[in-house]
Amino acid sequence: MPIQIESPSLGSKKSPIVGIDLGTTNSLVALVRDGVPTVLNSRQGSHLIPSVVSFVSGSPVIGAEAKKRKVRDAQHTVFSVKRLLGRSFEDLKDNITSLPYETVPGDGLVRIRVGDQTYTAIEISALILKELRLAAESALGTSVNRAVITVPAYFNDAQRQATRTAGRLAGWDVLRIVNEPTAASLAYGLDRKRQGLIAVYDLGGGTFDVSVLKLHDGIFEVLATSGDTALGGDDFDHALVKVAAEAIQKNFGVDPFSDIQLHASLLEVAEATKLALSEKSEALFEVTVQQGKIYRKNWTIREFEDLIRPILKRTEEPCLKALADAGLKPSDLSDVVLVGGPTRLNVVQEFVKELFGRQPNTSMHPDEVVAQGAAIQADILSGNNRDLLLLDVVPLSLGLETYGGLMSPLISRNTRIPTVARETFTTFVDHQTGVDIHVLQGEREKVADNRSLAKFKLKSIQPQPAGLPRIEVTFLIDADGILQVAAKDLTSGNEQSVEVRPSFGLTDEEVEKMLLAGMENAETDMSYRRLIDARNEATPVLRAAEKNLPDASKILPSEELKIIQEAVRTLKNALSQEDTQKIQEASSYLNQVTVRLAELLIQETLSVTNKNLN
Amino acid sequence: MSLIIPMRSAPVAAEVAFQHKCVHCAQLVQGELAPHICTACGMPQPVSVSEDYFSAFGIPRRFGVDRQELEKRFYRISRALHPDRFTGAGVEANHLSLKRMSFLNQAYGSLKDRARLREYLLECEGIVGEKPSIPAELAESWFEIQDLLMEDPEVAVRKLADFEGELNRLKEATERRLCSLEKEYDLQPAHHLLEKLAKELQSQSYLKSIEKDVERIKKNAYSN
Repeated sequence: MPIQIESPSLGSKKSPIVGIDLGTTNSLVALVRDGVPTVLNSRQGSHLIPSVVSFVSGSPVIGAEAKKRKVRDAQHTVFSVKRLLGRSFEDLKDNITSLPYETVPGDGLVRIRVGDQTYTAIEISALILKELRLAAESALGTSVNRAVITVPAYFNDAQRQATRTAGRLAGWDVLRIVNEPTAASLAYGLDRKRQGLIAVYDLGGGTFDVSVLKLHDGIFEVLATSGDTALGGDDFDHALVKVAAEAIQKNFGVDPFSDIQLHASLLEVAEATKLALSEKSEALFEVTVQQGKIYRKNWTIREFEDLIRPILKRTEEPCLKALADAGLKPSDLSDVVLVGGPTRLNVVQEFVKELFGRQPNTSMHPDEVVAQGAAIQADILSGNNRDLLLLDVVPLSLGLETYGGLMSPLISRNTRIPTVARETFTTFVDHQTGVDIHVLQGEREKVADNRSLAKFKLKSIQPQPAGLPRIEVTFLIDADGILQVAAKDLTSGNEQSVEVRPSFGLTDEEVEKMLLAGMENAETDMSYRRLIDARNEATPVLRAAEKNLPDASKILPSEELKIIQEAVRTLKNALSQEDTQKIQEASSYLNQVTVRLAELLIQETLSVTNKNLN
Repeated sequence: MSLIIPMRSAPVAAEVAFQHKCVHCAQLVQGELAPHICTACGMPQPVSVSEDYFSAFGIPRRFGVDRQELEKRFYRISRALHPDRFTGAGVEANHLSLKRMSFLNQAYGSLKDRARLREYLLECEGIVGEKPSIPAELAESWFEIQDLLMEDPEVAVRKLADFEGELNRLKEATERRLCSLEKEYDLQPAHHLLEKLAKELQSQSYLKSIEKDVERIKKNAYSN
């Protein structure tokens, strides 16, 4: 309506930078508001957005809706895709059977088959990241396209690259990739009262990280980090499923893994059983195998703890390694912070207590602390917070293959980033005219035991006797922990550089193709943005009208008042739905019918003012 | 198959000739953040050839480094220099901060660690070590153990205990000599002291490699 005191000028401010926790099980998006990190609601109104994508007659549905289809439409529903991110089919051979959906080998990256389509984990992740963007835009009422995304600290270069590419595909400008435990420490130490040496024990749905940090006066310095990117709460579910599957095979002669639907429902029941056991001392695991054939097992908490203890045991070595790398004993720590949903389980807390010799700190919200930390890092990058600073490290050594199939490290693990390393190599045989540069990541001596990141050839070396040419190789790691490699023949000056991507990331053409495919979805994005704009324009109109209704009842005839009340109701109703046109119409109608009211109110205000003046 | 082999590692060379003036605003770079950042305009500065890890922290090229003070300076400079502070500051500032922060990180990593500092200082002073050789005191018993391992592993493992004792004594003695050479050098830097130091370092590294072998032998003995 015409008398509008406050006019929120939309879009005049620079769009905010949000923090994203792209999790195995759930994803979150958060923002710092007035110095406080706040998790934003999904479009369904909850903090957690399940990292699940279901294809309903070919088009993707993401989040809570997709999660409901996990069993009902197991053939078309993909989850825990973070476990596949940046990995090849060969990498996953051992534990791929634990997922009900079909995975197939692809060019480098593993693919997921849904119906007659195949997707990379990057594309599925991009869909989740896009949903997070819509959630943020809906919650904030403005367009949002800049983000900090967290990854497990122990993610290698290929996995980081894959995450960054997924962000790009989803339309995000990814300003920083941050390690999850480091992000969590930011939320933990935000008020700067907590100082000293801490360990962050981060057991997520599919990944485990442990980081040792020094917190000092707003500086968060990572001293060492370690982990296992294929270890998490999912494995507890799988252990329960395995027990059930063996019994089902034995009692009913049915292989549950050959039936996607049954496999998915076993996983669902397993998850429910695990969650129940974090609160109760007993839980029933019950699944219908076939009509009339029901598998039942009552799990006591004791049995469940015995089942998962061997899995937890696998977190011990990374913890000890991180402490040793930091040059510390458990007693040097002033706190051990628990992060991740599975750390709610009593058995996990007991395990950590024994390992570090102290009661772990459970004060942080295990599901939300990483997103909160990401939001804080986003706030730092926005320039709003100049008190805090993260100093992080690279989790795994980086090097080159040299003669004899050996890994020759240039940058060792736990080196502070950003960093640069240069080393000079020479040829092994006479008159060599080219060398293969094979970039590796890992801690092992033999090439085959490390992760291959990229291969390229430095050509046209001047033919010389072996040992004479000088080839300088430079590794540059940026603040995201992402590597760039350059090789230079110092004699000829011939140089070649790559951003490490080819072996396990997507090729440029692939990304190009996907970006084009993304354009097809741009239509829906656009219409969604129009909806948000319409809402933002209509809301102040509604607010002003409602505010003036009491006065209106005094100065307007009752029929006219009724029309306005009706118009208010219509707009309210329209705002609760997603029909852009309806909102616009209702809003402009309300505007129309309140014109006379506005005039009367202005006259009244003027006459009051005049009276006062007289 | 890879056909390249490593050459002797060279220190990371700086890239531009030293400049007293800011690359951006041409003001003199000074103050407590020099030579890293121009206090006048806030622009990170390129790393010049005349800089080394010591000058990055404004400390003399000596073995004795106050590590608490080093950390304090590292934090102070990082607060201003880290790429996180230049996210929206344009390509040039971004690039320069990345380059210089990389340099600072390397410098801090090298000076913080005693062994790496020794190596770096010798490298700066152009000391090239000779090939390491086994200290005479150990040679005989070490070769004996090696032989015994083939003939009678049990006896070899028993002998290993004494050998380890001797190894530790030698290691400690070497470390003591290294420390006193360092102190002497810090008081009065003289080239011949560095040469002695390099020699001691060489035997130290040999002792360490023997130590690794001993660990391996022990591990094998226990697993059998």
